[in-house]
Amino acid sequence: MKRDNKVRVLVGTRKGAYVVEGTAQRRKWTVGPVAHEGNEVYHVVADPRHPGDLYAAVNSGFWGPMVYRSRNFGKKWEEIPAPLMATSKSRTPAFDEQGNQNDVKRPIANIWHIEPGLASEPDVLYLGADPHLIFRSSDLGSSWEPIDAINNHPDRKNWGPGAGGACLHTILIDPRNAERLYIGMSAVGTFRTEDGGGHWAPKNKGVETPFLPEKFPETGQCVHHVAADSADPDTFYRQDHGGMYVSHNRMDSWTRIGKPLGDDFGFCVASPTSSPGRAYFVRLHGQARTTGEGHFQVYEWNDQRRAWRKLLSPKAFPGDYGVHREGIATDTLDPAGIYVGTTTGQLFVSPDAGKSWQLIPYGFPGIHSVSIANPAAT
Amino acid sequence: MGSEALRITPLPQKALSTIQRPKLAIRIRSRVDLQIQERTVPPPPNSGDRPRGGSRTAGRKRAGGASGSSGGTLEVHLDSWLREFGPRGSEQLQAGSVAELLDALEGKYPRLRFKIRDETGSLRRYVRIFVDGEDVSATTGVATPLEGAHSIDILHSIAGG
Repeated sequence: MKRDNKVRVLVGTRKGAYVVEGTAQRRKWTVGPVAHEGNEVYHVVADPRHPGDLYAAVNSGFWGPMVYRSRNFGKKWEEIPAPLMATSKSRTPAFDEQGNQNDVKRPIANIWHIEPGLASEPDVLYLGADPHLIFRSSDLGSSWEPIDAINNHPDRKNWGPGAGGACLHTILIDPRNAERLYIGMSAVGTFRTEDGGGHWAPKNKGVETPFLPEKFPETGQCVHHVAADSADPDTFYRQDHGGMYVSHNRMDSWTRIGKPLGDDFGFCVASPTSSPGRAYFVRLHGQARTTGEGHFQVYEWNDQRRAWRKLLSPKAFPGDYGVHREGIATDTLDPAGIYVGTTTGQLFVSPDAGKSWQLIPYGFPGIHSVSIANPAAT
Repeated sequence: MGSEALRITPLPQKALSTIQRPKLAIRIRSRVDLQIQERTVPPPPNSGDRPRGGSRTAGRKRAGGASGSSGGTLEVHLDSWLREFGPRGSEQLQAGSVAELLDALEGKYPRLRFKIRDETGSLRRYVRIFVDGEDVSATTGVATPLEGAHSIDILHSIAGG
């Protein structure tokens, strides 16, 4: 499909997927089309290598997890194979015949994240699922190969689920090297591979686990989400159960940056292309899991100045809002657009890197994920 | 899938007053409703001896075991939600057990794979299978023999919110 100059906000909700279309000015928006009505949609993502292509992780409470693809920005969708489909009549799962590892005998519970590969690998997709599974497709989702070094990892017996499940929710690819991947798993932590998934090393040094007796274990951190810096692929921003962190060395070590905020709990983080060294977090009250200040707020981290800034006036949007791990996104325009979807169905948009904000006047179902299909590069 | 687009002006109050909401095709119907509305063939002759809907604890005891076809033709009814992935009407199949029936159904309609059963072969949590009106989902399940059976209903259970 031909590229156009529209910005499309892809919204995954408790009851379906929405495509919200806007102009490059990002002041007027059109809601629709809507798809997968009634199903939990944990993630919708655009494939920038193939304009118009969208992928949706659809988790039906009745029929299980499914993957759908659209070739026309969401006007029509087709179901494509989901991973873990057995090829033999015995219906044996495609991996884990040892029977002694943690919960890999149970079926795939939910699909959490779909990540298109680099432009140099135009047919590659990665997919993260519960229980702590990652798959790779080299044919745009027609088939999936399990990445055994994670899916059969010898330490799986020690990997437990978080409250949202045993989610593998974050997959990041080094833009300079398709063999270097990073993943984030709830209640396990972040891992890095340098050989395309053959070997993985835990990368959680410096991340605190306030919910475990050991303060800084090698694994067991409940990472909630990670965003890469657009200008420096060695720099990452991390929202963890144990606070907000930054790494400048490919996740070899992490430094906590959220302490000045007091409670630095939260689920989501994003870093815009047009503002390197900036990251946006939505701080939540650690127990209430809402913004907890009586209003909607986004915090900007300036990594050069090592300083925080609030982006909204307390009077702008009163209320207590929850935001899930995929609930914030930024676009590639300058100034950056910031988009935040809440668990109660509000979609907040800033078209100017946080200077002004609008609430899209449409009540969505509870929002799981927000991502952007960006317009053609200018 | 899909619905018509909705144009929104930047003024929330005005936009809300002129909003034309997209159609949301979320339909929640009870199991009983589905049985009544979707049954297309007369009930089997002995159905009057057994209450419709069956007991989840009753199980099902038939001669012939779980393997081998009974040789009889089964009338299979899928609820409307499942018809997205399978036959649009009823289906006539031969099978010796529920598992064999599902194998045959999935062979004919590949998109049904892993919708009724997960990849371990277990029935999904919110799927109900009725054999001649008796719910076998939580009792003999996919191993239920089908010798002498006439009618199979595959439905979703009451769930969600």
